[in-house]
Amino acid sequence: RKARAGSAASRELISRVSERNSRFEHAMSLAKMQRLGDNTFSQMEKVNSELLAMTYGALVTTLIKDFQDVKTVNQELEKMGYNIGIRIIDEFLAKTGISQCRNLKETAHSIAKIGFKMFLGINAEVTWGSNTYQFSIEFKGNPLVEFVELPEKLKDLDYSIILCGVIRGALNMVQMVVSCELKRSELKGDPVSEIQVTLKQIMQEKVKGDDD
Amino acid sequence: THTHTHTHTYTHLRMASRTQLYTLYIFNRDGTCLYIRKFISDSKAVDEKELEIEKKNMFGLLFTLKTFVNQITPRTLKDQEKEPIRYFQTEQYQLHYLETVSGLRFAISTSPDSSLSMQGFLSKIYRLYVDYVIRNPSYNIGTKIDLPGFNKGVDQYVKALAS
Repeated sequence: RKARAGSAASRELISRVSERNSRFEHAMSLAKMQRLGDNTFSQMEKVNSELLAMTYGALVTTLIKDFQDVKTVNQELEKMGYNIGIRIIDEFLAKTGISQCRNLKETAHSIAKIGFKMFLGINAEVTWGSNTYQFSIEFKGNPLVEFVELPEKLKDLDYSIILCGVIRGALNMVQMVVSCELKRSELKGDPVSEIQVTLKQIMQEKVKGDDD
Repeated sequence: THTHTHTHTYTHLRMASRTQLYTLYIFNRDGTCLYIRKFISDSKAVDEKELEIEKKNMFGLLFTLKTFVNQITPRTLKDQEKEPIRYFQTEQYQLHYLETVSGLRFAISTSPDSSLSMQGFLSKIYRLYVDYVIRNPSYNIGTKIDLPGFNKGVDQYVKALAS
């Protein structure tokens, strides 16, 4: 199975990325990434996690009241996440000083070990399925879901889907088109929360022409 | 018409190491010039058309230079090459360059006697960009930066360096 990519060149790039993955190369070791995550986290300005949880909860509640439809709320939250993601990427890059990831494995670990640690203060793990262009980020103790219980009528609400949008937006700014799904959620009774990221396309460098 | 150069200019601003800053540019991946700031006062008024040409030329130069360097770099070194260009020097000036993974390009032209690494300077400008530009909800990513907070941040940093 190959990813459905926009162009032949993109397909080429994806297969090269997947190929590099299988060789398990790491410019930056996992331990180093974890240390970078911890260090950066310690330097970040902190906000009270209860305040964050309450604010996010109020936001979701307002959206539910406004839209009434759970599916629309999910979409709106994901869109909000996307708008956060396109901005958060520069904060991530500036504060960690991290350079271009050489393969998808590094990208996955950067998000889980450094990104999640820096911005949410939690330790996340990366798991792989049979596809080399798809990975999952598993995490527990998401500060957003503190105090939250999903009522029966909102069982289809992807409460943490905003994180999917953040990942999608951030990766978009580094030339990767991905889709993110909230596969499992602690709020729905799963032991861990899981976000599955699928690489769809790698964007090519485009420059504005002279006559634009 | 709206000019992008800040109203305050510094006449002959010299930094501690005698390096004189000329112009700071910020471009995005598409070639849009998000920010241009001249540190040398010019007696003549700012000509919009000339400024546009300067912006285009600067981006074109940086883009072409990067492509060129990538082409002549031996294959074995290519994977390890993180920054194709750090700076180049001519008789008249030095041009220092920083490109982020997110496609932002920071460039500053300075006097040719710059002994200190301007990579740190550009990294700091990147940090100021993060603090004052992208965190500003009224700012749309990819558009021209016209934020007093950012200008002030740059001002303060440059002043601190000159002392």
